[in-house]
Amino acid sequence: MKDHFSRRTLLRGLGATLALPSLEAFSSKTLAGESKDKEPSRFACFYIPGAISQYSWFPNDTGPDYTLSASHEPLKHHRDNFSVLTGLSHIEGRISGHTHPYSWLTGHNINLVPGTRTNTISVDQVAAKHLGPTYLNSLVLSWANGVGTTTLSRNSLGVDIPATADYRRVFENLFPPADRSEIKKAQERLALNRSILDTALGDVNAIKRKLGRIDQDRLEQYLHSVRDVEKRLIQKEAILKDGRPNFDQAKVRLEREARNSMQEHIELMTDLIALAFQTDMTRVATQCLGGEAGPNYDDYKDWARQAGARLRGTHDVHHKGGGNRGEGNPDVIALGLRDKMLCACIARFMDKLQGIEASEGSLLDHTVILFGGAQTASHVGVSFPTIVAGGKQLGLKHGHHTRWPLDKRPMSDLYLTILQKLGCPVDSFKESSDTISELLV
Amino acid sequence: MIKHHLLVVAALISLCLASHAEETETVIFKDHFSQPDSALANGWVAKGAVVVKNGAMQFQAEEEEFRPRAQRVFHTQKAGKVTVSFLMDWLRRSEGSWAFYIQLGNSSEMAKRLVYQEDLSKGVGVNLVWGGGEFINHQPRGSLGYLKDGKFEPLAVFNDEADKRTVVESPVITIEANVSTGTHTIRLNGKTYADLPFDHRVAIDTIRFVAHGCSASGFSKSAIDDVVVRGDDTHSFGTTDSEELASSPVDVVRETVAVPVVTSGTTGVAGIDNRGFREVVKPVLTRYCVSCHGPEKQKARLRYDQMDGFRISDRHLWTAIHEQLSYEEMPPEDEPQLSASEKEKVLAWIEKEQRALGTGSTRRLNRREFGAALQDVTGLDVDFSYTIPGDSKVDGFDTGAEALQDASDSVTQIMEVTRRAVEGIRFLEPSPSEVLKADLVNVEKDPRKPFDPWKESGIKLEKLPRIAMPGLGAMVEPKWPRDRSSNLFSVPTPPGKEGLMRVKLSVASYCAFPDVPNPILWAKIGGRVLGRREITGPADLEYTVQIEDTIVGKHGLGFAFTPRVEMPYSVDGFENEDKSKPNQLPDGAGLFRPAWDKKKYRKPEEQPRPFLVLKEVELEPHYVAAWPPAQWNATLGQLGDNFESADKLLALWMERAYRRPVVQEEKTRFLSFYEKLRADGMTFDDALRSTFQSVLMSPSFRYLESTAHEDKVVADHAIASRMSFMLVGAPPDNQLRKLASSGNLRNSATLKAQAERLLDDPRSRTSFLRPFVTQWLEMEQPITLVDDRRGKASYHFRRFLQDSMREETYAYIGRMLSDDRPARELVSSDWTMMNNTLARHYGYDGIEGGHLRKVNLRKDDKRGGGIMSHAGIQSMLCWMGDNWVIYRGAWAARHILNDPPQLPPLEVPELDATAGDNKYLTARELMALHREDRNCSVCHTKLDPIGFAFQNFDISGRWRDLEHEFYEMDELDSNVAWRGTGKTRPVDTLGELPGGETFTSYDEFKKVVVAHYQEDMVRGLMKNFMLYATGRKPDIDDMAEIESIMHKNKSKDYPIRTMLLAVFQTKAFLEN
Repeated sequence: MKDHFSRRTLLRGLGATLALPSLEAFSSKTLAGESKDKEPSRFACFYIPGAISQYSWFPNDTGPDYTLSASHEPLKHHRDNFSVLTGLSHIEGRISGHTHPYSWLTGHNINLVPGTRTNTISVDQVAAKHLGPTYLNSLVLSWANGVGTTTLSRNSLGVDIPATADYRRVFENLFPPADRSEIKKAQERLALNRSILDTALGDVNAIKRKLGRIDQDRLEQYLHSVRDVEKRLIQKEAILKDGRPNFDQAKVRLEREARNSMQEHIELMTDLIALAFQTDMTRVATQCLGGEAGPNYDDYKDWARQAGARLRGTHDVHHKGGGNRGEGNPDVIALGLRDKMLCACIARFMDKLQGIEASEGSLLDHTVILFGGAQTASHVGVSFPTIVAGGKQLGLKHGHHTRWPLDKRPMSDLYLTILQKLGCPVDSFKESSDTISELLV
Repeated sequence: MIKHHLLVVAALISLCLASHAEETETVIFKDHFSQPDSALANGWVAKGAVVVKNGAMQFQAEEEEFRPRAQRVFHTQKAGKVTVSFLMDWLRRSEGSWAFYIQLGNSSEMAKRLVYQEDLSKGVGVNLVWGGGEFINHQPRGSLGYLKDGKFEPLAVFNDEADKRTVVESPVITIEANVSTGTHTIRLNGKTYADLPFDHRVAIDTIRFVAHGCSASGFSKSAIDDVVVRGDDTHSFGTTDSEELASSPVDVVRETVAVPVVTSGTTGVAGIDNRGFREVVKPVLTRYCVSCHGPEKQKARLRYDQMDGFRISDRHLWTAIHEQLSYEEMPPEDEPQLSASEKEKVLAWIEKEQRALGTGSTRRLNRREFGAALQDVTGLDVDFSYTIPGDSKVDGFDTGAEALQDASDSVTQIMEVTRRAVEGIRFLEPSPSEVLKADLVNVEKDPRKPFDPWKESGIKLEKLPRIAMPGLGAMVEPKWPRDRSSNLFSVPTPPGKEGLMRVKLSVASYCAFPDVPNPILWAKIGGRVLGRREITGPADLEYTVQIEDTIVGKHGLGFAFTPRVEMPYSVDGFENEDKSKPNQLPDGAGLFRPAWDKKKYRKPEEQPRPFLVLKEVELEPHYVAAWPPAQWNATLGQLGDNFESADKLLALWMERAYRRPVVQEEKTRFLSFYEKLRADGMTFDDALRSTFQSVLMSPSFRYLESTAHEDKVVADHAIASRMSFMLVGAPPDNQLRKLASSGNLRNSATLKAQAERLLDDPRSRTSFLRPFVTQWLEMEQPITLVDDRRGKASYHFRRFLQDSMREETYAYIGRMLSDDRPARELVSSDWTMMNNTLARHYGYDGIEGGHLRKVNLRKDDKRGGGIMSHAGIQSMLCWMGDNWVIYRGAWAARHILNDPPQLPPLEVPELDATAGDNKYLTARELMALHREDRNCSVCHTKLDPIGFAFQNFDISGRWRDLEHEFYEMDELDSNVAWRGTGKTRPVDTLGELPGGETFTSYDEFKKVVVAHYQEDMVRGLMKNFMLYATGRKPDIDDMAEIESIMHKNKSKDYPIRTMLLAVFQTKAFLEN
């Protein structure tokens, strides 16, 4: 507990807005931490929309003694808990424009054929497959409800997994009901749902056989998804028996206070991720931190004002702030302020995880955080701005800035490294050739 | 010029397609021998051991039959051309005597038994032989020749005995026989042997392969594959009386694809001819393509070295390769080229794989359709798909089958949605809640009084209207666009915060003064706007809302019905509220409304504003609808808690949900599910609801079935569904279903009549016109309205103007469709659609009311008609930033010229119009700078000069003749101030179209487009119609149909309704 308070004191340095409204709601231990079981691994991915302000993002020097860059300032107190990786990108899977959320976590060249989009499984879903089963397979969060560029996650068929931006819905899906009679009702409902699906499919294989290959393939995809749901319903039923972990629901914040704040939205969501990880309801989460061309959060106006830049729509901010227009350009400065805010959100999330005791070390030590984007400027995806944090107990080594020559090292190498450290039995991911030794203890 | 090259190609394509269509040459028979190993089928008759093995026709060694053979009879071709092609994979022998005959002849004259040498020539027209030794007059082994009057005439030697290498591994041989002239042409290995005589002049109805000298050491590996016979339709005279033919399907392709080849159910390799890939295609790719599209380089982001067969996911890539090869776009001119035979082989392999795959017409309902289907089956007017995320798209359209996928998370979501849908209906249960009514017509004084009894039901009365007009109703004061709405009352929700609420209103409008805009009624329930409509007279409205989709307040669900005035207007005798602009109505968004003394004029009849008259309110706080809906007039007889009733209800539900008749065996499993639930103790209603939900989760509800389904009933209803969802956004109605059941729907006149009927249905406006045009023209982009200063008041009436600007384009295309106007009016006409606010924006007088109507434009109106002149279109292309010359150019290239720009290359620097010295450059100088970059010039040499055509439109789409030196912009909360400063100059509209035609003004631009690009534009529109209708991008066959429709309508100037209606008659729509 002492440790926990000192961290909160530290946080105060980041500004009054970063209160921790819900941390008190829980015990400061993970589920495994309570029972002294082996701590499972967690994985969270956060995507930076549009471009970044390159002058203040990339540190000038490399190695363990690198100088922290201006945008990363809020992460200062976690210096030993994260690494900055520069020069990674998708090489064969390289795309251009605002469709990067499609491929950031998949590495797939989605534009292989103009007019049609193909995709493959995203790294978070590979992790989810091996880290589960949990009550929820994974949390897929975003700035709006939707698929396409709104979500970061794609299933094993490369199909978009819909993301949600609704705190209440996330919360309600995340936990079994609180009281026993409700649990019984929920179990009955799950059983009924299973038989509804079972009956719905019926002799669909017989129908399928009468169709052409493409038609078969489409139905097969539906069957695959339904079967997957049935499987999850069974898993869920089993976990449901344990009921809801103990915490004070009244203290979980599910409403926003500001009208249109990007920072508040991200914080509410990362709080839910922390809660989900702590209670072990899920072990994998992705969050698309904003859209490529909107919403026009009020925060953008504040940054423009602070930087003396013209007020612009989000799309324009990314375009004008992401280029090589010089360090002193107001648009570049404004986007840099956005980057800094995002780093502050990640720092806050790391604080939270660090404040939660795991069976060995803190929850942060068992969580790999992937935080970054896919564009350094508009339509420029040669070096993904990337930060990897946490996971010390999993064998990750931090505190350095490592840079590779452009177009040499695929992002997939990082994904492979993360998957292996999480304990997933995989020996390759997309275009990977090797793990990244600089990240390994 | 890149474009010149493209134009030539485009012309070539259309030429090829047109000639193809005109010659009416059709495939009369083809076989890819893709069935599992077996005896020959599909009409082949064999003598000796000829079997299908490894996907080809194999001639095996056998003692009994000296000349194993296979023949196939087809329609008699008495004149014209017969073209035969096949793949020959032949093991050459370098010793002994052997021959292989390829024959086209007449079955009635051909010898049934081949005993003597001359039997091989009886009744045979084309008599091609490949062989060696004494069988062919001691020719060198590997000789190819033809027989004429029993004499072998050598043509060439392939795979001769001296050269042991195989020269031609598996050649495609094409024989073109001209029955009229008695000559034939052979194409093989890149060579053509033309004008060879027939052996005998006969009408042709048979193809026969004969192997002579087949022994164990000889032909054991020899095979024939991919036989395709094409003929001239006009010269065939029905089928022959051959039994084989009568009993075999002419189109064998469908049968072969029915073989289940997809194993993992994903997008793995599932080609039917993987050997063909390894032996034919892969070597060609490796030799000619991989140096640019391989591990070293990946030009155009493509690499072929990793391809391992025909993956379903790569099928468009294969189509692209097919096109590139056919039109000789690839390999590039200065690179080694494929030989003709290599090309032919690769093309044949792609075609074979593509055809075996089929085009696939099963597709998931998209979000809109899924919601409409749930409304249809439940009879409830509730937007059930509200919480489902939007769909991914194919080329911008939400009907693209490939983008409509399901993941387990989306299945979980629709599970929830379908549960809510069935919980909205009941069968035997009584209605769970009372109906509250308030009559406001017969109130003398206080219209709040009739609501008093509602309090007993826990309803909190809030801002109820206070003014009564006896005999008329309660007067609700109108609000201005930005005023907050307030609730009439709030209704407590049931404990689970689930279920439906329904409210009905009787309303009218009232205003004592003329020329006052009608009030627009906003119905907002639980924080959601459920309806917004102009009240022009008495109207009955009904809203049903699902509590889960709303924001529940402290007192429950708030109900607000707010009339708003959304138009600036003036009334004689009253001065304007904004005194800074007292006299003249603004051109749209400014603040202009009459002011009056509120203390002096207290009564509605004294006030210059419209009121909403509330006559009656009826509320059902917990609404569960009786099912089936009364208006269906379903004759189910007396229902009770018994199996028969459940059975009848289920049948009705399934037929509605599946959008087709349902057979007993489909029903059985649902009935047993129902019985099981009853046995578990569920009530009649609950068990039936769960059973109904299960029906909704089955693929037959979730997916549009295939129009190529082998069950004709299913296929015909699939056509009805396809047409209905496309044109009215909902499942087929009774009339369509009856026609589908009668089997007459495919009748051409019926199709046309039905398409016309649906197109004229009012639902078509919201459910076809709007989504189609929005997606086609990318109309979801925001419209910017600017003023020279940024202030709240200036934008008061913005919404209605912005909506009207968008509406102009919908209404214009809608009118073109209903009047069947020529396609050129898309870009150039003398009319447009206007309402009062647009008239003001464009400077026209005498147009009253918010609805849009056709207006003839003044001769001196420089903008003229056509969608590119619409302020909304030009404005929405400016929101992305300063470089609208590029955005507008790209948009016109994509949607008008059917010449979509490529994806931007990787790593393109942003062109920054405001950075440094750029600020002082004109748009033209800036664009020139842009094109200096080689990366950019590829596309922008084409795009930018088009964009200059629209420079007369400012960022609000207003016409300007002069432009300023600089513009300053200031933006907050989407209020945009835009000021020109510095000197003015005439707008620079000098530009060029991709074909090199130049223009100096917007008007000239339109003329050039009409003169030179009309066909491109029409082709683009047709491709979009086709994609929207069929759910897939048109393939080569579909494009041929488009060309044929265009050809037919060219002389009529491409009337667009006729062109749209023609889509429903295509094979692409009906059969794929």
